[in-house]
Amino acid sequence: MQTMFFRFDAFLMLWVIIHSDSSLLRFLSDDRILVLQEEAEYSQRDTSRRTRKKSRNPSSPSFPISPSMLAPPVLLDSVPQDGLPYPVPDSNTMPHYHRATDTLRADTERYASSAGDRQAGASMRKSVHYASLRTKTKKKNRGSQSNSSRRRIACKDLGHGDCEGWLWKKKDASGYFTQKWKKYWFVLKDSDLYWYTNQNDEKAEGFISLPEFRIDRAIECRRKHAFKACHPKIKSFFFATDHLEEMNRWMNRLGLAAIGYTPDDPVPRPDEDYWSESDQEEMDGSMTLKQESTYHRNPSASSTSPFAERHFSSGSTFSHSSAEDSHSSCRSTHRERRSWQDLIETPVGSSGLHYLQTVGGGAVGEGRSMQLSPERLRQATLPARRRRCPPERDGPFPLTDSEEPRPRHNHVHKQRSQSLPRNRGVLHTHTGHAHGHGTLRPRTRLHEEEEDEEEEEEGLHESQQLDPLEELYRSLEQASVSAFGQQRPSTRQEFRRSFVKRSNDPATNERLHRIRALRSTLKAKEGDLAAIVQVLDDPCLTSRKLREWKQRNHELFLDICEFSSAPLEPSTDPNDLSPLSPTLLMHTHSFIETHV
Amino acid sequence: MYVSMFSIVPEDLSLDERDELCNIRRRKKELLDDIELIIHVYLHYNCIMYFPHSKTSQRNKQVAIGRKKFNMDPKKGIQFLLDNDLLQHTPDDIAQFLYKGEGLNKTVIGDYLGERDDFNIKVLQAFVELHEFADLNLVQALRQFLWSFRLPGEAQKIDRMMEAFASRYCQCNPGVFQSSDTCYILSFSIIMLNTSLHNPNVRDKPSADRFISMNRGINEGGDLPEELLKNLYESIKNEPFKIPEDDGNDLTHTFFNPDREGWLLKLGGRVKTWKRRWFILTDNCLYYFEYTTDKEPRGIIPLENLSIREVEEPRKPNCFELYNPSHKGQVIKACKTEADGRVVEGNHVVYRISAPTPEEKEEWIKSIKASISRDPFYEMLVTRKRRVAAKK
Repeated sequence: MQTMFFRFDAFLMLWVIIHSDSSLLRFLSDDRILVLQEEAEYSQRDTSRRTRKKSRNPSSPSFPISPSMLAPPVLLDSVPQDGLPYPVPDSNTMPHYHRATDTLRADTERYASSAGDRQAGASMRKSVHYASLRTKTKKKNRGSQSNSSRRRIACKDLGHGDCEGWLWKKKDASGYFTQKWKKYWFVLKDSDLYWYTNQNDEKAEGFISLPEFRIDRAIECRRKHAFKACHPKIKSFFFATDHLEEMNRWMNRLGLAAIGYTPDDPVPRPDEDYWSESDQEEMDGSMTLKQESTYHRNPSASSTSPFAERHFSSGSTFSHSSAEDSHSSCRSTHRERRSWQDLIETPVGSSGLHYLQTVGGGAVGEGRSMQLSPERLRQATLPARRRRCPPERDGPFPLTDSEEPRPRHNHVHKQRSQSLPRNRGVLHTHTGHAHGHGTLRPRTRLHEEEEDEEEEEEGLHESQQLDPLEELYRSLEQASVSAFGQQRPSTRQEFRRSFVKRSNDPATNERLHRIRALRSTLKAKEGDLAAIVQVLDDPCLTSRKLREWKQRNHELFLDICEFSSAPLEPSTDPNDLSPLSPTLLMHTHSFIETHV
Repeated sequence: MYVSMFSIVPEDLSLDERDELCNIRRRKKELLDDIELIIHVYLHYNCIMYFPHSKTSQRNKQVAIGRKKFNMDPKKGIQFLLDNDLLQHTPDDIAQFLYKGEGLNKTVIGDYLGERDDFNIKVLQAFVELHEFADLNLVQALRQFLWSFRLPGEAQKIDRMMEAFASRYCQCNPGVFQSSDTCYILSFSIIMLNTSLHNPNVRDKPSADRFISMNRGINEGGDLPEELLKNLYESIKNEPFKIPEDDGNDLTHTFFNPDREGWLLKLGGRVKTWKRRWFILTDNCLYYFEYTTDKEPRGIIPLENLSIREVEEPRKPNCFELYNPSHKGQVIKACKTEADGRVVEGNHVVYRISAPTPEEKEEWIKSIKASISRDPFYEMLVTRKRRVAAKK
C-alpha cells in the first residue's frame, strides 16, 4: 500500500501568479523535488484519513501521476531490479491530474514553513487530492438484466443524456482494409453509452458500459477525428466526428464516464455485461481479435502518435499553399494548444508501458520495433533524387569550402577536394533552378578554381610541420567523429537522426522528447503571456496602442480572436463542465479538454 | 503584480476593441493555467525521487536528494549539501565528493569541473591532485583520468581540464616530459589515436611508425624516445579508452538545452511565403518545427560553413539570412519534410528569416554566429604545438 508525499514549496504557486511575466523556464531547474516514500507496511491507522479521499480498492492508483511516467531510469539506484516498484493496477490506469491549483494552494498552507525547515523537508506529508469527479458518478447496479435487454430502452425514455449527438461508428468489416462507418445518435447516460439509428428508436442499436473501457485517440483509423473505446477483454469500438472540437468533447465525456467507475464490486463482470450490439451475431470473433491485435501490438503507432499525428494531420488539414500563410500559422497556434495537452496525457506509450512491463526478451522486441519504425519510415520515404546523387554528396564536406580563419586552412583539404569534382554534376543541377540572391559562378570557372586550389594546396602541405597530426584530425572530421570519439553529425540525415534519437533506450528517448516539447511549449506560452501582459498591464492603454500591439503580435492576436468567438461547446449541458472549466487538469489518460 | 480581470477599460476603445481586450484577458488566464500545468507535469517528469523503505535514514535521504539535485544542477546540488552540513565549502572537500562520485552523473561532474569560475578552477585543481599518476605511463594515467568524469564538449573546458591533467602528470612523473605542453600535446595525440584506431567510421588507422612521426618535435623541439611512444601506441591499440557513457538516463541533464529557441518567420524556398516556425538552435544546427510539440523537425539547416547577415526586407521587419559565402548560388544542403512525410532536399539558396523584435533578431544572430564559428579544438592544439616548436 502506498502513500504519497509531496514537497512543493509554496513559493511555486505564488510565484506563478505574481511573476507571470518573467521567465519560468529557469525556475524549472530550481529546487523543486517530489519525494515519494513507500511505506514498508500498510498502516491501519491511516485508513480513516486516506479512505475519505481515495478509493477503497487497494490496487487503484492513489497518486496523481501516471505510473508509466515513473520509469526505472528516473529512479535511484535503490530501486528493485524487477519491474516497477509500485503495483500497477490491472485495469488501465488513468492518471489523475488533480487540480494543480488545489494541491498547490492546499500545500501552501501546509508547507509554508517547510522551506526553512530542513528536517521537515523530507518528512512525510500527505497531500493526495483525488479528483472531485471520482465521487461524482456512482455506477448503477444493473442487477441481472440480460445484455440485450439493456438495449431495450427507447431513446426518448433515456431522457436527457450527459452528452448527446451524432457520431460515426465504425462497423466491423470482414477485411482489414475496408472501413465502414455509419452515423448513429449517441446518448451518454451516467456511465453508459447508447446509440440509436435515430432519436425516435424504441431500442438501442448498441450500448456499452463505459467503466473499464479506455478512451483513446484512434490514429490507426483512416478517418479523421477518430477515437476508440478499448477494453482488455472484448473488442474495441471506434467512433469518429466531423470536427475536432466535437471529438474532444466526446472523448472527454466518455473518458469521465469511464472513470466514474467505483470499485465497489471487485468481482469481474461477465463479458456480456459490458456491451451489446444488434449486429453482434454477424461479427466474426476471430477477425475482431485480429484487428485489435494489429492495432495494439504496434507500439510505434501509439507511441509516436502524439507527434506523428500532429505532424501529418497538419499537412492534411491545413493548406500550405501560398494563399493563406498567416491563416495557417495562427491556426497552428490553436492546434498546438491542443497538441501539447495530448502530449501530457498520453502516457509514455502504451508502448512505454509495454516496454516497462515486459521483461527481458519482450522488452527488447518492443523496444526495437519502436526504435526502427520511425527511422525506417524516414528512410523509406527518401525520394528517388537521392539515388541520383553520388554517395559522397552526403559526405562530410561535399559542396562547401571551410571557413577557417587562417590562410592555410582556406583551401580545401586534399581529401575533400577529391570529392568535389564528382559533385559538379550535382552542383549544376542545383544552380540550374536556384533563383535569387547571389551570382552564379559559371561551371568552368568553378572547375578551374578547384584545380588551382588543389595545386596550391599540395605545395602548402609540404611546408606544414603540423601535418601528420592535422591529417589525423582531418580524418576524424571526415568520419564525422570528434577527437574524443563522439559522433558528430554533419549531413542532414545525421542531424535528423541525432535529434530524433537522443538515447538508445526508446522509453527514455520518448521522455526526452516530451520534456523537450514541454519546455519548448512552455517557452512559447511564456512568450505569448509576456506579449499579452504588455498590453493588458498598460495603465495608459489607448486605442492606438492596442492597434499597434495587434500589429506587432499579429499571429497571436488572430489566434485569440479565432478561438474566442466560436464557442467550443455546442453542448446541451454547460453546467456539467463547471467543475472542469477553466482548468484542463482533469483528464483520462487519453485526453484533456480545454475551454476557449 | 497580479492584474485583476476587472481593471479599468480605457475610454477611447471601440466596442470591438473592448471585446478584443476581453478575449485577450481570457487568453491570459488560459495561458496561466496552461503554464501551471506544464510546470506541474514537467516537475513530475523530472524531479521524482523514490525511496523504497521508510527505514532510510534522514541523512541518507538528504544525501540522496543532494545527489539528485547535483545531477540536475551541480551548483544547486552542492549548495543543498552544504546547507545540510553534508559537505564542506572547501575545494578539497568538494573535489573529494566529485572524485568519489557516488551516485553522481559523470557528465555533470565534467561540466562542473570545467567551469570558468575561480572556485571551480580550484576544485578542478584539487580534483586532479587526488589522482595519483606516479609511475604510470601516460596512457595509464589518461585511462584513470578520463574515467573519473566525462569530458565536456566545449573546447575551453577541455583545454582547462587537460591542462590540469598535464601539469599533474608532470608533477607526478618529473623528467618524462620537458614541459606540460609536451604532455598536453601527446595526450591529445593519444586520444585521437584511440579514436582513429577504435572507431569503425574512421578509415585512417595510423601505424606505430606514423604515430611516432606524428609526434616529432613536441618535446620542446626534440623528439620523445621511440620506445616510449611505441609502448603508448601498443597500449592503446590493445585496449581502447573506457569513457563514461552518456546513456541519457539522467533526463534532466542530458535532455535538450538548446542554445536558443523561439518562433521565427521563414521565407519559403520555392514558394515565396512567410511561415511561422518554431526554431531550435542546437548541436551546431538549426532545426525548425511547425509546432513546439513536434518530435521530428520539419526542416534542418546544418550551420557548418554558412554565414549570416542582416538584410532589409520590405515585407517583414527584423530580418536576417543564412547563406553560403563560398559558393554563391549554391543550394544550402538542408532538407525538410513535406506534409506527406517525404524528406526532400531544400530549395533554398538562402534562408531568409524574420524575427519578432529587433532584440530577438540580434540575439538570434549572435547565437547563430557563435554556433557557426569553427570548433577551436584543433586551434588549441596548434597553439601549444607552436609554443613548443618555438623553443627549438
